[in-house]
Amino acid sequence: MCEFSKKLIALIDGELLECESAQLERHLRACAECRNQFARYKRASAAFDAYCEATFAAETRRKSSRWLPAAVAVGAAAAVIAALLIFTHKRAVQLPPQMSPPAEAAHVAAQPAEPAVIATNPAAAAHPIGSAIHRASRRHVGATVLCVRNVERETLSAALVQFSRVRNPTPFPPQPPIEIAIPADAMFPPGAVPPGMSFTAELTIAADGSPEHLGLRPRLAGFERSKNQP
Amino acid sequence: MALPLARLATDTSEATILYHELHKPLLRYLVCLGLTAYDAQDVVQDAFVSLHRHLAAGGSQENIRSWLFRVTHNAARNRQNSYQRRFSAPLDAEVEASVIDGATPEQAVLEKERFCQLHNAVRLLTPTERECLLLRAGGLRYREIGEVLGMATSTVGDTVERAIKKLAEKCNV
Repeated sequence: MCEFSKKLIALIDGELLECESAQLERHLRACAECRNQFARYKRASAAFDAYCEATFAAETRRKSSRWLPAAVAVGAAAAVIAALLIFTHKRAVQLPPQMSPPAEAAHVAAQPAEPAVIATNPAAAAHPIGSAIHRASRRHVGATVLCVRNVERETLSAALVQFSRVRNPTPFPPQPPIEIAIPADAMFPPGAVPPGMSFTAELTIAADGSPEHLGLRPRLAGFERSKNQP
Repeated sequence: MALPLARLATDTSEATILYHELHKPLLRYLVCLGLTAYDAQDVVQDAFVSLHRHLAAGGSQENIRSWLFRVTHNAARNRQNSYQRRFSAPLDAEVEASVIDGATPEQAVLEKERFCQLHNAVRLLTPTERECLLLRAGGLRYREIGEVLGMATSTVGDTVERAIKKLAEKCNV
C-alpha cells in the first residue's frame, strides 16, 4: 500500500497543510492506485452526506404530516358547523311573519323531539323567529335544530324566554352543548389515532350567530378529569 | 470556520446570521443521531437560549460553533430513550420514500438497495465513528469535532479515516 494513502481523506477534508496538499496532489497524478482510492473515499463521503440529508428530510416530512390529519379534521368540522350556522341564521332572519301559519304549531307538537314550551305555544309559532325554528326543525331534524338551539343563547334568547313565560314561569333552560360525533376512521388513516382517542370540538358562537372560535381537544379514554378533580 | 462573533452579544443581526447558518446543520445532526424533529427543535432552541445567556454573562466568544454543537450533543445524549434509535432499526420506510422520490422505477430500486446497504454499513460503525462523520457532514473541522467530543484532533482524523474506509468497503462504492 502506498504511504500517501493514509492522508487521502484528510486531503478531501482540507485538513492538510498547503505544502502537504501540493505534494499529495502531485503524487495523485502519478499513482493510479491512490487516485482510485481517493475517488472511492469521495464517493463514500458523498453517499454518507446524502444519507444524512435523506434521513433529515424524512423526519421533517414525518413531522409535518403528523398533524396534517388533525388540521384537516379541524378545518372540515369548522366548515360544516359554519355552513350550518349561516344557513339557519339566514332562515331565521329572512322568513317574514306571514309565511308562518299558526297551523304549524300543531304539526310541531306532534314531534316529541321538540321542546314542549315552543311546540304548544301558538304565540311562538306566530313569531318570525319561532316559526323559523319550526320550519328548520321540521325540514332538517338533527343538526340544524341543534344549531338553532345553540344560537338562542345570544340572538334568540329574548324572544324565546318571552314565549316560554306564557306557559312556563321559569326562563328558557340552558341548552346542552352541541356534540358532533365524527368517526376517527373517516378522517384519519388506519392506525393514525390510538385506540380510545377521541376529539372534542369546542365552539363559541358570537352574538350575531357566526362562529367565533373553534378548538379541537384530544381526549384519551381512561384519562378524563373527574368531577371532583380541581 | 471563523464566524464574525465579536459583536454577537450586542448586535442581534450577528446572532441572526449565526442562527441561520447553524440551525439546519444542528437539526440535521440531532435527527441523524436519532432524535425526533420535535425533540431536535427543542434542543436547538434551548442551545441558542443558552448561547444568549452564555454571551450575556460575558462568556468566551471563541469557537462558538463547536460550543453550540457540544451543547446540542450533550442534550441529545441526555435523551437516552431516543438517542441513536435511528441506527438500532432497519432503514426507515420514510427515508426510503424520500430517497426514491421522483425516481423512475429502475432508479428507485437501485437507490433503495444502495441506501439499505449504506444504512447497514452505518449501523456497523462505532458510536464515536458515527458522531465524527455526522459532525464532519455538518461542516465541522477536525479540531472542532475534537472539541465537541472531547478528543484530540489527531484522534478525530484517525477515526474519520477508519469510518470512511469502512463505509467504502461495506458499500462497495
